[in-house]
Amino acid sequence: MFLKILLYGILSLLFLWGKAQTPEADTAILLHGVEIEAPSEHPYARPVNLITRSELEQIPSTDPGKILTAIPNVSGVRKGPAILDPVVRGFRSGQLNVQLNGGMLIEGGCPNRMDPTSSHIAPEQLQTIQVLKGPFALRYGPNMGGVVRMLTKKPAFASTPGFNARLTQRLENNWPGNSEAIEAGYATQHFSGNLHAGQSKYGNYTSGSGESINSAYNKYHYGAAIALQNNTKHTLTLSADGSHGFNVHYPALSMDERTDDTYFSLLEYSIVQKNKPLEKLSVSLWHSTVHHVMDNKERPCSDTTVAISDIHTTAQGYRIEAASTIKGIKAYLGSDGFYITKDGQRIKTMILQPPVNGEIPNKTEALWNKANTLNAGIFTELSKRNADWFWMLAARFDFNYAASGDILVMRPGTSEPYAVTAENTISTFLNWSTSAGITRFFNHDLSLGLSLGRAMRSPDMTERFIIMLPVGYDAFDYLGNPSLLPEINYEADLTINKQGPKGDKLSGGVFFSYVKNYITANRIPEKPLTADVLGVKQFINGEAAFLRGFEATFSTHKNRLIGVNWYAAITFGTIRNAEQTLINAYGQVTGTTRLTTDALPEIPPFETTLNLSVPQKIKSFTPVLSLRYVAAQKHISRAYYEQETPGFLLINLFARLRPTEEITINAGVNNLLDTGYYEHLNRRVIGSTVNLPEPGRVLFLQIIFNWK
Amino acid sequence: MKKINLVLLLFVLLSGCNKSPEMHHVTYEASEAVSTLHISYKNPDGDLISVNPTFNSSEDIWTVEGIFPEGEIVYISATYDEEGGTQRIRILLDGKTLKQAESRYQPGEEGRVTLAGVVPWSK
Repeated sequence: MFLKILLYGILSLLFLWGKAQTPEADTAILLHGVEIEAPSEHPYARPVNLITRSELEQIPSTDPGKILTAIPNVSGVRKGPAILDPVVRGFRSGQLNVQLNGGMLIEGGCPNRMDPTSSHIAPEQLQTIQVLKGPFALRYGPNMGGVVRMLTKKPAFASTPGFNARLTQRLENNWPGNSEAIEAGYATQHFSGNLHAGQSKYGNYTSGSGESINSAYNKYHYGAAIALQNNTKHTLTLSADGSHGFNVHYPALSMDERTDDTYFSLLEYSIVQKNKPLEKLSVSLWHSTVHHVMDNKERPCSDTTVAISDIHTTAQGYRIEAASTIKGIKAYLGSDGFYITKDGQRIKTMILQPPVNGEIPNKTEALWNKANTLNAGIFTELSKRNADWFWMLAARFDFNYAASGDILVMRPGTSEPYAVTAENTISTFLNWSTSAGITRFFNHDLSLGLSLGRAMRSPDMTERFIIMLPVGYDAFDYLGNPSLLPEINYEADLTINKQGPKGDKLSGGVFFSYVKNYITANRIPEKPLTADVLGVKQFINGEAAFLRGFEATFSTHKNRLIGVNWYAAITFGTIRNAEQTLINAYGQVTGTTRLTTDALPEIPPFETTLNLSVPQKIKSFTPVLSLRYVAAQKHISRAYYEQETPGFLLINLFARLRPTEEITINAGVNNLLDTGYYEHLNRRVIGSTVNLPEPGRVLFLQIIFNWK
Repeated sequence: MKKINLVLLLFVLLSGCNKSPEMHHVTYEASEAVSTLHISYKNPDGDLISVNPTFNSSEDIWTVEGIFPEGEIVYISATYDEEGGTQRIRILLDGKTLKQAESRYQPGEEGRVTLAGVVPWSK
């Protein structure tokens, strides 16, 4: 607490001193380092989506994972409060590369992904989110199904020295709670520094059906960044952040997050030189640590056994990239790598048993045993544009190594454990990925693009090394498999962009993905360690999976009287020769069978959103009416006993008001009709067959004070 | 001046983010015994303490108190001598009964009463 007070004190003093020193004249802010690869007019054939700073402010959520769902065909698996694990076109978890600046990864501590990378960043910290769908973008680390790049606000240099500050206050009625964020910075032409801090505190929400959902959470974060730049555009940036959560409730998991303490830091060097052979060079080094503690203390079963899981993870890595243009061909060449460690255990205290040797009986079970993975890759991307054509070629090679300590599971009732010795946990892979894209432009208002890609990803830590935890969609303990092979995604995307004579834009595309060695799970004859699960499954390489679908968007020009922004998307996923566990009427496993074809689990259904706005007609006031329709999901996995989800229609209202240059007010009502509904990807509430309901009517208000 | 006030307001709001758990007054209580009880209880430091209080009449009450943070395990286990006896064991949280149980004239370990749980969080 003392440190917090000190930090806030410094922030306040900086701000006050800055206001005393800084003239009121406009100060030019020179943004640097926010690399937007694909602005709205990008020529790439591959699909790229952006969420800008302004759009971030309009979505009332404390979770970037939730904000991402504003992008067509991006959704999220939800197990607790407003913390979603992103799913892009049906790809999830290790199939996606979710990263921060400089390729930074934050390896979550929870085996059930309570804390995906996106959960460690507050929206106020973000400048933009970029989603590159498909296996085509290979510059940002191993990428099989898509890249989610969360780019935070970097220190900005200023032609006139001065201070800047920004305060954000957000209030909601459902979840009832509030979040605050403050940031303050000082910038000159060669120096920039900023400090930021924020917190979120939310209670349980009420669904549209009137149920109170145990989903309260508390989070806070803080950080600092400095940047130095000389006259020849050499820039050095150092940032350090802390992100914390406590008493975060997950009604769809058997445990709640008691504490999560995450720290991450980044050191970046870059140089930008126009008209020189080496146009840009960037080098980054990063490090992150997570200490995650979760328990079942607020669950009924804690009356007999209190279970506490305590996990430490670290991730560290680098990225080097050089950019040059040779004979009109833009070329990127670079290397990146990371090393991740994960270690943790679950202590079960049998509190209703009499003392043994002066102690309350307890049992310690490893969840990970000093698991680690190393990945080092080299990549290149070449592209060229002329009047009618744009083409792109990309390739990367990765060396991947993973190992763990002994994997031992004591089998109840027998003296012989399930055992994989440390030397048998080691696996190494050489993965290669490549992609190509070509765009044809017709008359400056129509373009067609075709992208082809083949990308590999090594199994993630959970798939390789998890020791007996119910981490899947179904009620089984899962066991890792060090012998897994990499998944390979072969994907083709066809895209179209059409601009009307008045500036209206229509764009969209279809994709088809064939995934070889798709990682799924089969039942094995081991006894589970978790109460109330049906058995044990082990990760295996299944047969081929197929994902296909489309996305379509339409937006009117900003000068139209009524602004229209519409999108529609669907993904359809199937897998061949899937194993189904047979369960009788009493909930007992009786055997297994093979399904020739089955739906992939947790694939979102068709959805479409229509936003109607009145842009810029009433000065500084922009009202928006949003209609979101989600169809029922009836294409469900029989192997996972997935349940059908009914469709729903939501009506949301939003308005933005800018009474002065310094103040922005965002306010609105989500789920205006207080509809009771849940998303298909919401996990089931523990102890029930009901999916986690979404909040009913939500009133929100956000006020932003921005001083430059 | 407005800006200063706003900064201070945010400062106050941010300072409200308090990770420290609330503390609660826990009482372990044994009563209605007529002989020596063998009691083990968990103290706020997490140690398991063993005591053997002797009860001269069923009116006697043995108690021990401690300050526990929310989420902490509370635990008491008690039994009486082989020849049998009686006991009522309670865990009180801030003066109110959190858990209680009793046993009467059970042989050996069958007479043991174990109460345990977690100090609940304030909602």
